[in-house]
This record gives sequence, structure tokens and C-alpha cells, in this order.
Amino acid sequence: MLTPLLKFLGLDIAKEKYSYGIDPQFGFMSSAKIPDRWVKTTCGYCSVGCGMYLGVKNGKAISVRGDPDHPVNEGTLCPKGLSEHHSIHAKGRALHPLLKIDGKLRKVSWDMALDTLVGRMLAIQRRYGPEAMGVLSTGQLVTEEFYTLGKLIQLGFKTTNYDGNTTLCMASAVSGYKRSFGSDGPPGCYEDLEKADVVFLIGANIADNHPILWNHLRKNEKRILIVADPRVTKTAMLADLYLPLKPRSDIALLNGLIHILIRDNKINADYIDKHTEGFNDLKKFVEKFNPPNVSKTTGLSEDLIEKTAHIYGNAPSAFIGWTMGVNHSTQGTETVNVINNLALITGQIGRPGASPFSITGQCNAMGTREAGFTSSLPGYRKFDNQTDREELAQLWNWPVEEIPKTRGWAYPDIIEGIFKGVIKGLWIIATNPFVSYPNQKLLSDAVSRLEFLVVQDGYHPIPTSAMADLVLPAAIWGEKEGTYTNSERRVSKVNKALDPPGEAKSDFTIFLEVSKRLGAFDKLFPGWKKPEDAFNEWREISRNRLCDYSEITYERLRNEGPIQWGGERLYSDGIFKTESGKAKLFCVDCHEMPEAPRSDFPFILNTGRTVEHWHTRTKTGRIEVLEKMSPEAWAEMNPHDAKKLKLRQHDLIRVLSQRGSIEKIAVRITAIVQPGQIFIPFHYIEACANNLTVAEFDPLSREPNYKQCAVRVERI
Amino acid sequence: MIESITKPSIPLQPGENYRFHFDLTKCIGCKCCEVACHEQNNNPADVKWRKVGEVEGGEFPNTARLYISMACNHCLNPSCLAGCPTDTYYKDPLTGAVRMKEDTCIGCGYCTWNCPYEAPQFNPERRMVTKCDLCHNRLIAGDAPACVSACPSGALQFEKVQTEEWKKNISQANGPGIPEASITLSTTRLTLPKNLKSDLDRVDDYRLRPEKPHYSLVLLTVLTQASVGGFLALFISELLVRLGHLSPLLQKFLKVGPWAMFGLSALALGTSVFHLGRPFFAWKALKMWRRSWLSREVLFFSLFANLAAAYSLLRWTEIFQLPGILETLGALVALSGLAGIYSSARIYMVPARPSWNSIRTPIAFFSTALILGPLAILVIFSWQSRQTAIPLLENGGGLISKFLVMTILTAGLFQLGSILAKLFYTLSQEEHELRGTARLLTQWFRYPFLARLGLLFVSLLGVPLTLLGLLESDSGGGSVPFWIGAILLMALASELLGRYLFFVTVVPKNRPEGYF
Repeated sequence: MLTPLLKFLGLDIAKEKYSYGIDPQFGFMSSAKIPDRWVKTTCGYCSVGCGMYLGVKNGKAISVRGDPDHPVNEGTLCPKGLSEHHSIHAKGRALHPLLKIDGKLRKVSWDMALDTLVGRMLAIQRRYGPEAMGVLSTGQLVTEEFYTLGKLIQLGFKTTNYDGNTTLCMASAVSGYKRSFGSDGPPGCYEDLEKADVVFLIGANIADNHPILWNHLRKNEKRILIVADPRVTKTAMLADLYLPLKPRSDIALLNGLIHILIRDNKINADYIDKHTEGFNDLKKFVEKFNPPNVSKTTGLSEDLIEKTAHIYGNAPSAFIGWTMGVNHSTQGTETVNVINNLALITGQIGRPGASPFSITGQCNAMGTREAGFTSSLPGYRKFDNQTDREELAQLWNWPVEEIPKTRGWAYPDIIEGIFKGVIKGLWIIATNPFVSYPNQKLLSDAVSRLEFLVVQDGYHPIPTSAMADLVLPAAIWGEKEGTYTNSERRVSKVNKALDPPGEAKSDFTIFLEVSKRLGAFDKLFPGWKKPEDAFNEWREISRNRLCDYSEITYERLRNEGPIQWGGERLYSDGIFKTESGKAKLFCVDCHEMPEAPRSDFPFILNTGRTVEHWHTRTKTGRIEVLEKMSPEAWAEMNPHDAKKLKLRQHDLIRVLSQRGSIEKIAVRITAIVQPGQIFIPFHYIEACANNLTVAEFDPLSREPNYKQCAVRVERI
Repeated sequence: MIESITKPSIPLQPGENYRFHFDLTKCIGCKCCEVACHEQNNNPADVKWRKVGEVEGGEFPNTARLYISMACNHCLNPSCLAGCPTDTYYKDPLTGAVRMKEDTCIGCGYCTWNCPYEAPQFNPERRMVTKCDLCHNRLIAGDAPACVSACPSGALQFEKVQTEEWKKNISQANGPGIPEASITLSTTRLTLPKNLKSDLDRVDDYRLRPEKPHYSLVLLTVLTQASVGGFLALFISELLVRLGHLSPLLQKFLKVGPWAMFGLSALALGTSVFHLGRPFFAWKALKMWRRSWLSREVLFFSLFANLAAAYSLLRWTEIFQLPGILETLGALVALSGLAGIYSSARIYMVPARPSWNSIRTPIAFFSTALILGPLAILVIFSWQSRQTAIPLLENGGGLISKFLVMTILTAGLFQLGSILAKLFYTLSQEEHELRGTARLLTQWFRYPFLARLGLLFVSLLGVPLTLLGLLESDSGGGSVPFWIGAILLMALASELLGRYLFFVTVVPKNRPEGYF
């Protein structure tokens, strides 16, 4: 009663809320942010894998601080990490299991929800066959959950149509590594950024997307930074040598560099001889990629191409890093192979500062690659390898004939499978395709044909959960235990700081509960109670594999901090995981992009990210400080194009492709993009870039071609 | 080469301060500093002690986008401190940081107008201003400010500055899109790229965002000015008629007039208190009368209101009639009022608000006084004439009326001049802020602006017309007070609208912002 009056008169200035105090661990800070206890954990956003402390007071997560002793981030965090505790108590958390009854989602008990999940899925499988059930998971769970889920789906439900959103992300890197080196697994580490003489970034805007990696790069004062990107990103602006190449000409550029290096004998003949195969074919193949040709394809001057080749070729140690600019392409896998070619023929692998290095996306994409049972059998084992299957059957005490011999459908094929009438039930876990999947119209058409859609997520409603027949409320980061593995194969502990809200349960608990209802718990997860049980089994499964976790225990992680499997670098001995032990060189041609601009759709649309937001904004869109920094989507356009269209800064436009449109988006006129190109961040459902993108996929990795499609711009 | 400090120690050598160093060549625009600041200080999302802005230029592929992270620059000549009416700000003797005494701030927000960098920020939850104190407590404990510790690219640093040397040459405090450092002697050192592009523009340049209208200040300024103008008109009227014969009409008029004017000023001053975040402590605004024009405004208008009350009382009761006392008191009322208006105008004449920082501001304020005051007096005068059925122009009446009308017309012309001068001046300037004001006047607010001009013009035309009619009929009473009253309302509407536009179309100097 009195408080509003006191406030109005200025007698109450909320002194306590804005006072300061001393935290024993982090010193002076806002008293309101000083927790009762700090829980050591690992950031749940991206794959950089920063160590952090989550502060808890009275059952609330109230603050975060970077872990000063963590080798990855040394106390720093990006803006998303710095505000991550807000994601936990954000509005719109999923609190109760919800079941669609009479067309409306209604609160039901967990028993009912799980019985329905298992009952409906089994009914669908009985009617249409086991493959009628599809599962789409994520890169956001802990390794223990991925391992558990993989067994549950592949062995419990006996469907191979199981994939993750990691296919939308770094599947091309995985396929590329497998083809070149015989196995997945990024060979280098972040320290290479500090030690390399040349750092060559291709389609990687780490300043925006992996800001904490910049911390490593900036420490390297001798390095020459080369950046190839069609857009002058902040990373490109900070480069010593910037290559403003045309979209989808990276293969030509890389082949051109190889051409010059061979021509000028800047290659490591000894390494090629001992550790690679296919060099003679490659040498012959790249003959046509002479500087004049490459200049024509890439739009770069011959001088610039020669200069780049020589800087790279003369470097004692050279690091090549890439992210989505390479992966998000119908030729993503092959581009990775050409990158590997370049590293291999110069022997730039397996040494400090020398590595072809895929900078991964999500916090635990690596965990699902290693343990997840989607694109390969756990422990980087191959579906089509009899020995691998037998080994697993023995370890699991499972009939070998029930271990799948081939990979099931990948993400886009599962969506396609719905159209074909094969997939009838879909379980989506911790991912939000109704923002992130290319060609949204096609996706909604597909999903409307499902008989049963389950969405398991930490938040509700989100665009995907709004479509669900059953919503399972899940715990999120901060509410569960396990491990994440980052881009440099560093395994870090993730710890539970508080209980999930409402009736939400950890994904691990949900998977075990489902297995019980399936009658498979005892066989699949004998005696399992906590994530550590899964981790210990996974340690045994991975023993003697490239990704060997057998010596990594929870206790060691707690005492020693994060540990890299495989040591600092892979392939230091030059022995690869192929049958011959030699890495393979590939001859790759540079193809046209799947949808080139034409008269009625004259612009090339490029999509990407902004530093303030994570993926589809289910978390960061709910965090006020981040959301207010970047509250809406924008479309970048070169000033010359804007002039032709008579657009002024911040005018609202409509963007259309053959598949759909963004009805209203502000134009940002900036010379960061080339004339003829548009850039739109994909985070925003309100102006969804994926209404426009083309559903074309890499034939090898099945990764979508998010980075180029043809669009038109209209004034509104 | 100045050394960057990660572990500050106190005390500093004499003549040394701590300060920020921001390296534009290293910043990757990640905004970690901004979020870390929020976390350190528990500030709401809209209270931005630190903000990252952008400037951009060049042609593809030689494009440059520079991020500029800026918090308080802990100036050597802090304008927040100089303008503060309550002496809330001080330069910390240990670190040189510009800090605030939490309890003395009354939330008037004047510092937020004075600072060219938007460093002091009004926190609506606390109803007071808050700002960066260089993480004072962390410095004492030997830690760098939270934003500096959070920077992953090493762009934001912390170091010592020799203040006397820095005063001699502060060129390193200047950068693209950032207000001229000499205004406040900013201490933040900037490292710029070697080949700085000449066409770098603020990316927020396109954005037209009107300032807050400050309705209570619109009322305060216009009504106090009307009141002062009215008193002045009364005072001079009385001097004029003293020369002639004091008719019963004039006697009555001189009794009623002062009360009306006092009432107007009391209303205005009462309203203005609620402009403050902490109205309970309004009286504290008097404190810095030696330095702050805001304190002086409060002082002179308080004086004016009290003297006006005394004057009105004396007039009314006709007690205490010593020769010359009313005249002396009247002169004091008028003088304190004029001083009040002048102080008012000076409040707005600050370098951080370019469209206000001009002789046009006092001209406009005095013109408002001399349009509305005499008009109000004319209304009262003609009303009295109607009530008493004594012809208006009888005896001294004609002289007074002519004087009032001439004053109104002269002031009106000055006001028109000040408006057009502002329009053409701002249209002709290149400066980001002035150009912005011109765009707001001619685009965003073009209809209110036309209405403002039109109303003023019509009321000015109306005054002589009414007077002509009056002379022709040559009688008191009738409809005259209604006609003059209508003109007064029109003029008042015009002045209120004008003052509203004055507030909403100012484009403050500011640290650069981002695209949104």
C-alpha cells in the first residue's frame, strides 16, 4: 500500500536491490547476484565449450561467471553465456506433460503421457512397420542422454530413422572427415589458433559466432589471418588478407591454391608419399584450376590467389578453420575433402598449429557424433562393418542381427519419408524445426500428415511444440548432469544446480521411463539410475576407439577439469583410420549452386547468425538484455542495390523466393554484402529466413544448402 | 606506450587518474562488456551504463565497420557534475572516477541532458539517475572493471592517465561518430585504425527518435513565462497610468491582476515538482545556486512566487501603504521573474543539446512571456471593463491597451523569427544532431509544427483586428473580453505546442548506437 507512494515521492530508491557486496570467489558484485553456492559447469550454448560457474540462491539461478581456470575461456564468456542463468527462469518453460485432446493441448499426468507415447508409437509401428517411427534429436543434450537415446531408439524401438539437428549443422564436416581420414574427429585444438603461423578461415565468422575463440587467436601475434567469405564479416575485416570470393566458389579457390602449390613445389612430398593416397590423380585433376580460371570462378584477382597460396605454402604451420559457410552446401562434404587435401599435401596436420579444423556448432554436437547412434554406430563404428557390429553386440550382449547394418534416414529424408507415407509417428527432442528447417512450407505440409507428433522440450509453446500431439516438459541446462564434448574433443562436466520447474524431468529420466514402458529397461539399461551409469557404459563402449573415453571418469573430470580424448591432436603419427592407414585425397569439381539467381529472383540470399542470439531464440529470445540488443530480423543489402530499388535505411521490405516469403523485414543498407546478395539472420520466426531457403541437400551428408538461394525484394 | 592494467592499485600518484582505453582495431562487437556490466550492477535491460555502437563506411570489399563500446568517460570537466543542482556528483579522489552520492540525487535528470555520451542513466525503478563508477569497489579490491575483465578480444582496457598532460592534448579521445571530447574533457583513450576511412557514418544516423515531451516542463516553462510576462505588463501599466489619472476601473484591475498572475506561477511551480523522480526532495534543488542554472531557476522562481504573493496581498488589502513600497516590490517581482526566465533558458543552453544551445532559446522564452502575459492582462482588463461597465479606453485605459498590444505584436514577431531561424539554421547544418532536429520538424512533426506556426500567426493578426473593432465601437464591455480570451487561448495553444516541439525535436549528442 505504502510502497508505491514511497516510490513516487522518491523515498524508496530500491537501495538493497542495487547494493554491492563481496562474493568470496568473484569479489565485488551486485549483492542481488551473490549466490549461496557456485555450481561449476560448462556452457550449454555452443561447442566452444566454455567453463563457467552458475550461482544459485534460494532455489533460483541468479548469476553466472566464467571459470578463470578453464583452458578454453580463461574466465571470459560471450554475451549469451554471460546471461545464461536467465534462460532457466524465463517465461514459457514447459511445466507439465500436455496431450492433445479434442484438438487442444491439455495437462495430463506423466504416466498418461508416457503410456500414450509408447502406446501410440508401438501401434504405429505394428500397423506400418518399425520404420514408421522417426526421431529427430539435437546437439543440446548431454552425452549420457545421447548414448541412452540411441540405444532406446535403435535397439528398443528398432527404428533406424533417427537423426539429429546436427545434420543441419556439421554433418558435412563429419562426412568429410570420414571420407578423408577414415573417421570423424577434428584433428586439431584451440591451441593451434595460438601457435599457427597462418590461420585460414573459410566460411567462418568466429567474431560473431564463436567470440571466445577470438581470445585464442588474438594471443597469436605472429599469425597471418586469411579469411575467405562472400560477406565482409567482422572476422573478415580483422583479417590480414581478405578473399571476397563469390558464393559457392570455395572449391575452385582451394583447388586453385593446390594447383599453385604443386606448380611451385610448395608441397610436402615426403608426407604425401608416406601418408596419403590419390596424389597423382589430384595433381592431374587440379591442372585446370590455373589462376586465370580460378580468378574467373571466384571473382578474386590472380595476384590475390597467388599471394594466398604462397602465404599458406610458406607457413611452417598452417591452420584451416571452417564452419557453416562450408558445411551448409550441397557440396559441403566435398568442400571439406578439398580443405583436407590442402592440409594433407602440405603436411599441415597433426602438429602444433597445423590442422584442418571444423569449428562445431552446438554445445554437445560432438557427444552425439561419438555416442549418438545416428550417422554411425557408437564409438565412430561403421554400420556396414561386420567387426564393428559384432563388437557392439558382444559389449551389449545383444543379438548381432538386431544391430542395424545401414544407417537409417537422415533428417531431410525423414521429412521426405513423411510425404512418402512411410513415417507416421515423429518424436522431436530439443530442436525447433519450425524455424530452422529449410523451406518451412514443405515442412508444415509434411508434419500435417503425421499421425502422431511428440515434442520434448524445455520450453512451451515454441513454434514446434505448438504443432504437437504430445508435449513432454524437459529439464534444461543447469537442471541436469552429464558431460559435453567441445569442438576440440574436450570433455567437460555439466552439473545440476537446481531442480527443473513444474513437473519437468531430465531427458535422461524420460528416456529411462520410456524404456520401462517398452519393457526394454533391464536389457538396455540394467540397473541404471543416474547419468553416470550411462557414462560408465559409454566409457567401455568407446574403449580403444579413436574417441576413447575409457580413462575419463566423473571423478577425474571433477578433480582435473576437462580432458581431451585423443590428446591435444589426432594423427600426429600420420596414421589414419582408413584401411590402408593413409589419408585419401579427393578430386572435386566446383558445381553451380542449386538455385542460381535469375531475372524474377535476382538476388542470392545468404543466411547466418548474430552474436546475441542462439539458434531459434527459444532461449535468447526470452532473455531481455539479449533480445533488446537484437529485437528483430533484418535484411542486409548493398547500397548500390538499395539505390536501384529506391530503398532507404530501415525501410520495410518483402522478400520472396519460389517457396515462400518474409512479409515484413527491415532493410539494412550496408557494404558488408556484395551487390546482388541479401543476408538475413535465421533466428527469427517473425521473419523466418527458412520460408525462403531451398530444400536441397548434400548427397553425402544430407546437410541443407542454407547459404544460397534466389530471392526477390519488394518494397512495402 | 601506455601500460594496460589488470590489477589496479590504490592510491595513484598525484595528478593520475584511472580511465578506460578502447581499441577500435580490436573490438569484435560481441557486446560482452555490455552484458557483463548489467550482471555486475544488476541493472535492468534498458539502463545501459555501457553500450556498443557502430560506425560504418567504405565500399565492398573494402568495407569498414567499427564498433565503439562506451560507458562513462570519467571526464576532467564533467558536465553532469557542473549542471547538477544538488551536488550529487564528485570526482573520486582515489581513482578520478566521476561518481554519485546516491542519497542526494533528486532525479531531475538534468545530468542526462548535459552529458554528451548518455553516461548518466535514469533508472525508472529507482526514480533516480545512476551511472558507471568505474567499478569503484572492484578497483579498491584490486580488480579491473567488470567490462574490462569480460572483454574477450582485449579491446577494452584500463590504464592510468596523467590528467594535466591529457588536458593539453585530448586528440586521442576523439573518434568517428563520437561527440567532440573537448566539451567535457573525456578521459577515455581511443585507438583508431591507421587508415581510418573518411566516410564513416554512425549506423544510427538514419533513425529519427523523438525525445521525451516532458509535459510538466512544457507547463512549467510556458506558465511561469506567462506569469512573469503578466506581472511585467502590470508593473509597466501602473507606471504608465501613474502619469495620468487612476480610474476606478484601473484601481480594480490592479487589484485583481496580480492574484491571477500569482496563481499561474504557483500552478506552474507546483506541477514542475512532479517532473522530478524524487519530488519529496525538491527543495534540495536550491543547493547549487552558485554553479547550476537549474538551482538558479528554482531560486528565482521561488523568489518570484513569494514576492508576487506579497505584492498581491499588499495590493488587495491596501494596508501598509508607504510611498514607493508597491513600486519597489513590483520591480522586484518583475526582476526576479525575468531572472527566472533567463535561468530557465540557460538550463537548456548546453553543448550536448545543439538545437537548444542557441540565443534562440532565451529569445523564444522571453517572447512567450511577452505574448501570453500581456494577452492575459488584456483579458482581465477588458473583463473588468465589462463588469464595471466603465469603457476600456477611458483615461489611462487607452494608453495601457496600446502598450499591451504593441508588446504582444513585437514579442510575436520575435517568436516567429526564432521559429523560422531554428528551422532554416538546422536545415542548413551538417551536424548529425542539428540535421536530426530539422528532419523531426519537417517530417515527423510537420503537422504540429505547421499548427504551431498557424496558431501564432492567427493570434497575432487577431490582436490588432480586435483592437480596431474596439476603437470603432468605442465602448467597454460587450464581447471584447471573449474575443481577447479566444486569442489568448489560441496563443497559449501555440506556445504550448511550440514548447512541446522544443522538447521532442532536440537531438542530443550521444555515443553511437547500433542499427536497432
